[in-house]
This record gives sequence, structure tokens and C-alpha cells, in this order.
Amino acid sequence: MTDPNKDALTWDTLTWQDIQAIGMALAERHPDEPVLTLAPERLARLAADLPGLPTGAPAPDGFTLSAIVTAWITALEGDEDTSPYDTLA
Amino acid sequence: MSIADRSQAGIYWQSRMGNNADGIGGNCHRYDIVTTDAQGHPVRGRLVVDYGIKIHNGGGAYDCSFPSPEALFARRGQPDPAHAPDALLLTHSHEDHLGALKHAIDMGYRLPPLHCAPFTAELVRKSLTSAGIIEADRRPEIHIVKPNETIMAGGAEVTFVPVDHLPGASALVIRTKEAAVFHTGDYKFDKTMALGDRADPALLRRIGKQGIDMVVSDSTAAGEERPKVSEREIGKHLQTIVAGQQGRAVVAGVLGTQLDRVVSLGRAAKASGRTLVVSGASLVQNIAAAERAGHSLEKAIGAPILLTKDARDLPADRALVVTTGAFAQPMAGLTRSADHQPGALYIGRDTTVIIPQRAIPPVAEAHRQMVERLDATGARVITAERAEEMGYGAIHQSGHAIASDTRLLYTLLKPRQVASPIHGAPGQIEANAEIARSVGIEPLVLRDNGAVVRVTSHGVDIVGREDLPRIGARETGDVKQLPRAKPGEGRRPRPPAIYRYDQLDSTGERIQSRNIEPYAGPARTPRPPRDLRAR
Repeated sequence: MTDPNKDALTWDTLTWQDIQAIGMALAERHPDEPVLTLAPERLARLAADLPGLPTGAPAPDGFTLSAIVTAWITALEGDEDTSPYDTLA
Repeated sequence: MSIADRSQAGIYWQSRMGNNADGIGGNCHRYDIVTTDAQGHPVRGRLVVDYGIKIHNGGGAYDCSFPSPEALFARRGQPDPAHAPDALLLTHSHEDHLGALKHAIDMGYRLPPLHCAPFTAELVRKSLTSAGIIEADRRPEIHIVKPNETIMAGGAEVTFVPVDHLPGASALVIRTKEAAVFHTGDYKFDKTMALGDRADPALLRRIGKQGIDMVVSDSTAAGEERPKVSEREIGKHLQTIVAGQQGRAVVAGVLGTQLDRVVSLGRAAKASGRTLVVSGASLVQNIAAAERAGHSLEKAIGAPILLTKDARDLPADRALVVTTGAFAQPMAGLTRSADHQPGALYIGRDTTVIIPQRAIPPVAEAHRQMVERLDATGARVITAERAEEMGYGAIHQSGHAIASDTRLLYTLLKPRQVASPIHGAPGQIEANAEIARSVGIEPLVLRDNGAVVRVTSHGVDIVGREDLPRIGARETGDVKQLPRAKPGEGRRPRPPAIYRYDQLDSTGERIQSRNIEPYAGPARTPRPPRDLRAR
């Protein structure tokens, strides 16, 4: 019998470098959170509470938090749609 | 390759790319500081201002090019060479000013400490993250600079002066005992823009009175003589348009970085009893980045902003949906709607589409075709080009200084020596130079990159010229190993591309293939799989 999840990328524990996994998990678990205006402290708490991250892991830095929000929004909004010519506007 | 003598006291400026012959893109400047400290001891320092990419518009061998990092930065894991800069100063967050950072890191270089405004820092983080650069040991140190703050860098006082372009945009005053340079970055004057700090003519006049020897100035729109339209006027025109669409859905297509235009649209929505809904990854990410940097769009609008997932129950005629696609980029919301792609926002006979951004030459044909397809849906399509003919007034203004702005800047700063126009097509450079002449300032027009210009309070001299290699980058078709992502309903980002890097000469001709080993992502210890949803 074919396992439908056989190609799934899943791991036992997360690290703060698993930005995409954290962003996707947050999008799935917290659909009502205001991702546009989420305070960094709340974001850090929501991320730290994800089950894959080890208890007592060091708090994420600002770079990591920004990356997590970006991944969270990508999980909601889809792929990059920027124009390379924005700069000429 | 000649090496210019930089031994005498003064500030030495060199445009590495993005100057006249190049047109716009790949902006990067090197400033060498030769001075003495308060005790008379010699001080030498080096600053790099901006490090951007130049987009190659199809057909060429490369997707983009940028100044070679070889002569600018140290390689990772090696000691700083003598030429390593003390700081990298970023004027703002557009890719032609910071888009090469990720490439230099992927090529194995270590960036010096970055100094920039909070919103610029957020978009640096986004740019690096999108390229898969996440590990702490590959990221640069980022130092946040507040508006009008002065820092010491490379032996000079550097002040970040707010200008009107996008949130956090800053001109730089680089000052030593011997000289002072005002480097505009991209700028214009529009005191009605909502986000960030405004360019302050009174402050600029005071800076001019303290003494400025050379202005290095943006020329992108310097030749435009038509009357300027402020963001407030654009907002009023948008308000008129939106107010006249009762009973219809309204969709606006912008660029992901046009956050002040989003505020204008949000205010127009609020005035008509509509709710602003935003859609599109780059736009939403930039709004969130602005919020983190202290530029709240919701506060500027005075009303909440919804994502599409939160607006499903909102009647179409009570919403104003802003999405990406003003330049008809393939993955953008408006383009996908025009193409009737699955999952795209519906646009039909009962929809009004507003595109408050003029098309620019590289995207003109794609834009024309997209508007044609939108027209074919039966929607009422109001482009920036059509709005004035339809009697609504202008709904777009360049983000760059037009002729009147350029004249105002020179009048306020009154540089003692020269103004050097950069960042523009040759016609715009010449228009900028002519404006300088018209207010009694000698223009210094550099036809090519590489000239080394010594600036002191006594004069400005070109002391040499150096050949400056650049890098041509093209996607290989392979992608970096994505950081791990669990299965779920969320959408995965496109994996970061792996590039091939060739060394080019100063004219853009390939001189050496210098491909680097593809970056394979952070080292990992395999672990047994487990689905997070199971917990």
C-alpha cells in the first residue's frame, strides 16, 4: 500500500533555522492571528510553543523572527510576485 | 589596471557601477576617508554605499549583474585585507541598491557591518532569507540608524537624512574636517507622503550652511518638467474614482514596494465605506515589514487592513482589494486575474480595476497586453495613463526627483564645488547637469564608472581611474536545498535559485568563468520523519 505522506518532509524536532516549517506551522495553527501587525514578543512565543522546537531553545533573534513572518505570509499568499522593476517606479 | 593615489587628505568618491554609461542599476559607491583625528593622528577609512543589482531585461547572457565583491569585501574565513571597508551604508531598500548582498554572500564573501534605517533592515533580512541565507555565520551585522542620526564610520561622520522615496529612504552626509559630501540616494520632495520621515527643506538648508562640497545626486526623473503631483492629490483623485464605483467590486494593482500608494488607496476605501484588503506575497510581506519597522499602514489609514483569507464574507462592493501586478509581473495577482488562472481574484463586468502606476519601458508591452486582457473581461479599467483622459486627474507620480525637486535640492544645499549627477539614463544625467548649471553649480558628469574623485573644501579633482570588474549572474536551473518544511495546507515558497557567476570586465564582457560551488544549505543530521499535525 502506498503511503500518501511518503514524500513529506517531516522531522522529529525543529530548529530556529527551519524557517519554512515554522512559518507553515504557524499559518496552519494560528489562522486568526493578525500576521500583519503581530508584535515580535507574541510571534516569538507562538513559534516557541510549536511542538517541534525543543523546550528551552534559545530565543530567536530579530533576523529569524522577520524570516518567520515572511515564511508565514508566503504560506498564506503563495509565491513571490515582486517585480524586478519596482525600483524604477 | 591603474590604482589611483588616495594618499592626500580628503574624501575620495568612486562610482563602482550604476553611473552614466550604465543607465540605472547595480548602484555601488566607494568612499575613502583620509583625515586626522583630534590628536592629529592619521585616520584612513573606507565606506561602501549601497550594493545593488542591475536587471538584464531578457535576451542577454545574464539575469543580473553587479559590482564584483572581490575588491570590496573580505572572503569568509580569511582575515580582513587592507582594503576591507569599515561599513556598508544603505540608502534604501530597493534591489538596485541592496540586491547584490545575497550574491556576495553566496560567492563566499563576508559583508562588513551594515548601517541602515529600520525598514531597510527588514527588507535586507527578507532579501537574504528569500535567497536561503539564514545561518547566523553568513549574515551581516545590521546596525539600525534612526532618522537624522549621525554615526562615526570609517573616520567620517555620517548622517542619515530622511528623503521622500519610500519608508526609511535616506540621503547621507559624509563629513570630515577636509570635506563634506551629500549623497542623495533615490529621493524626491513630497511632504504629503504618509510613511516614514519627510525630507525637511529647512534641515537641508542648515546642512548646506554647514558646508557641502559635492552633491552626488539621483537623476532618474530629472528631465521631467511637468507639474508635480503630490501623494495627497493622488489620494484625492483615487477617492473620487472609488466613490464613483457604488455596487461594483474595486481591485487595484500596485507594486509590492508602493506602500504610500496603498495608504492612499486605503484612505479612499475608508472614505467610501469600503475595507482595504491586501493580497500578494510581496505586498503583504512589505506591509508587515513596515509595521515591524514602525511604519504602520493601519494607523496611517485609520482603519484595519484585512488579508483575503479574513475577507471571504465581505461583499465585493464593500471591499477595495489591493494586489500586485502594476508591472504585469507573471506571478502577480492582477496578471493572474487577467489570465483567469485558478484561484485568482475574479475580475469581470462588475469590477473596476485601478492601476495607479505608469508602465515603464521594460514592462510596457507586457503591461499593454495585461490591460488588453483586463478590458476583455468587461471590467472598467482605469490605468494611470487613462485616468487624466477620463477626467479623474493624475493617479501616479514618479518616486524620483523631477526637475523642480532637483533645482530645490541644489538651491538648499548650495554645494561649494560640484554636483555630480548619477543614477539615470544619459538624457536625464544631462538634464540634471543643466539644472545644476542653471543655479550656478558646476556639474561633474562622469561618463564611466571607476573615476576616483578627490573632494576637499578647496576643490574637486579626478585623481585617477580604475578598471572595475563586475559579476554577471544567471540562474542555473538548479535550486538550493530548501530548509525543511512539513506537509500541510500552507503554500511553499519557490526554492532559492542557484546562480552561476562570471567575472565581467568594466564594460560587461565576460573575462572569466568563476562559478562557485552550489550552496547546499546548512548541514543537518538526518532525523526520522514525523508529521507535526499528529501532535
